[in-house]
Amino acid sequence: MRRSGPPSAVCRLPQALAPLAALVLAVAGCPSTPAGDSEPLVVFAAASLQDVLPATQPEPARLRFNFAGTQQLRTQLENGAYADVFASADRRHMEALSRQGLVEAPELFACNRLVVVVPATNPAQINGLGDLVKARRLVLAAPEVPAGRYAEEAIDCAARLFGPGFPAEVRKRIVSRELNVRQALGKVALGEADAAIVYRTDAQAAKDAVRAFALSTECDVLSEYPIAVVAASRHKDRARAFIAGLSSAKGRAALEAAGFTRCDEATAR
Amino acid sequence: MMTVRLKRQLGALALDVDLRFGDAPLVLCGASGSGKTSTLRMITGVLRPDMGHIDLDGTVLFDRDAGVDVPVEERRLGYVPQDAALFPHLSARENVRFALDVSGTLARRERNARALQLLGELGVGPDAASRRPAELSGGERQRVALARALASEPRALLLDEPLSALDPATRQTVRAFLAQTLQRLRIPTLVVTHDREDAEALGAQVAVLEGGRVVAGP
Amino acid sequence: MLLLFLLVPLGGLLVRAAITHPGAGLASPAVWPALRLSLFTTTCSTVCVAVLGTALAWRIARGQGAWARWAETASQLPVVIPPAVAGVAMLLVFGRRGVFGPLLDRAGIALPFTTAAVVMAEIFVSAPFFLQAATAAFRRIDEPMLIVARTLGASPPRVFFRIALPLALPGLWGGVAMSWARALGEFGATLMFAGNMPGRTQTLPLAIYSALESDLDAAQAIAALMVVIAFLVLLVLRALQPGTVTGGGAAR
Repeated sequence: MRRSGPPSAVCRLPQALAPLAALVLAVAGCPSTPAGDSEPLVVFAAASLQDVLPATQPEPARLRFNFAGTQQLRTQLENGAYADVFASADRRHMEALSRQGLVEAPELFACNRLVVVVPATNPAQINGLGDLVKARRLVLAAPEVPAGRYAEEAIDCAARLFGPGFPAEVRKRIVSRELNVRQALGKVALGEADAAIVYRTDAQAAKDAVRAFALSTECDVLSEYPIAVVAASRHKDRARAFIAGLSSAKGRAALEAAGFTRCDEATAR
Repeated sequence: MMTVRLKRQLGALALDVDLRFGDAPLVLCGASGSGKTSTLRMITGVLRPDMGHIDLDGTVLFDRDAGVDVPVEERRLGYVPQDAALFPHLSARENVRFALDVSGTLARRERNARALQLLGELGVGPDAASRRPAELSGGERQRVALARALASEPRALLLDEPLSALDPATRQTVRAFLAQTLQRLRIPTLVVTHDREDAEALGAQVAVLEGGRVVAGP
Repeated sequence: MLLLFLLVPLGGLLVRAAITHPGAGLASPAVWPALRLSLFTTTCSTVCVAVLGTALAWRIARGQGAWARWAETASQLPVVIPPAVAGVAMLLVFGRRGVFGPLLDRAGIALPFTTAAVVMAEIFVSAPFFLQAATAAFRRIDEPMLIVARTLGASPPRVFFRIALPLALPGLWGGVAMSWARALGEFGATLMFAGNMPGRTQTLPLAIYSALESDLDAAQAIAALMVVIAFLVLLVLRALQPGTVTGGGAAR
């Protein structure tokens, strides 16, 4: 019997997740076609950038995006998926890729804040971080994803404002740790949860379905979005132009409209 | 005495039969597709006639106009379908015992003995009685099926192609044995077959079914 | 070739999990509660599916006419619907703002985010697999056998329990194994309807997905554990499966 296709791909790639990566590679990138200006620029970007990133660029038609969780994108890049630009929602994953030499020097292009969201009807009458103890059902992102980790930090920090018993009291009300932050938001938008802690940009995207409350300044959490040219890129000039576009007037306006902030507005974490 | 008058449209076939049988078995002959098996199923009650009347020794089993339709399990008819249709997960003895369990007239501990006795009367020994249907010969299967039907003490017998699955040699023995048994039982019996020889050996009377109608009868 | 395609990724998973700190992943605190919860919920859902599904499959298999055909097609719908959509649909029915939401609320019952919700999601996605196997098993029973049983005086329930059920049993076991396996792997509907809470609603697939976000080694270790357990349970089910009784056709 002739060995071909998937089995040999598994043998070549070290990761057990290779078949998945190979599939994504086949769908998202075209590694076999020769480099040329007609080729679209491949951008791997965190899922939370989905709505905004195309709007920052003058020619979105010549871009091809792959939006997914930052960890998934990192795994795909580590397994040889082709991309020109990588935009991460988390510093750690970018640093890990940078250490492996898979990306060039990263730079911060946007920051995001956490907010407390409640359904538009606000059944539990929650008006901020301190009211989370009023929730019957509180939903967070899982501690494994950045948004979940930051939310836990904010809750711990709130002990300073609302007393040492506050974090435990809040955690008793958590009914689910959703696998990504958009699902946490979705549970609130559907009215199933009384409150969640999500990114400000997510709350913005949900429009009238939810109401958002900023965390108190003392426990504010700022998450950073680094971006970098991928080392294997065949279009580094265009990749750099893409990144420059983010700090253009059009780029800044689009990011701010989506709820992102400049990172110099507050002390970076 | 059993009288059967039935009408039913089955696809293209307009079934319209009129049969009377009693002391001697009636053989219903006909090519395949002439409506024989459907006739039997309507008598058992699993297939509902459009119109008609079934009467067994003065008891009405079915009458469209009078709104009588006795349920299958209360008609007390012994039915032996084509290929015997033994329960494959039960031994020959357990197949007969199933009927005894259902009727419940005998005490529990007497049922096995009665099952073996019934099988013995029909020429199935204790050795064969402990075997599953798949391990029995074609002739043995027919005898077990008949024993099972008789165990429920039926008031009439309906046999569908009782000999068709048998090889020529077995067929002759079982045919003679069946003819003899039917004579001994003396309950209204309807035997369906498409074989002339079987018909002549088993029945004093023969009715021929063709295109859903009885074209020649006693 | 196909078998190779199916087995090689699983083999790769096991090998890799064995090479890279097999202990480290399994020592993760998420593993054992998730395993216990998965075994508990899949047992509950499979029992429900087997009991209710056997009754429904029998009616579908014996039914004639439009109702049975309609029911058979409808019962296969959950296979085509993406599980996540099924989860949303369940929220829209049993959720707080769902159709039965106010009713359940007044009765003091809250289903989303509970273990019961996990079981419901598993029933939803796994029942079609059992129904299909069970309906096919009941259809294989020769009709004359059932007619004979009735003429011998057996009531329909008696025919079902003494004749149809024993004869369909091997097929029903096959359906149990299939639907159990599907329930074990269930992810999307659970995530939507029951959420992801360790010890309460975080089943093995959810634990794997959670771990994927931070610790690939742990994710692989749990995934390998799940493959092994699924394999063992399917082996046991196969060993318990009664031998196939040859159908009425054997009387030929």
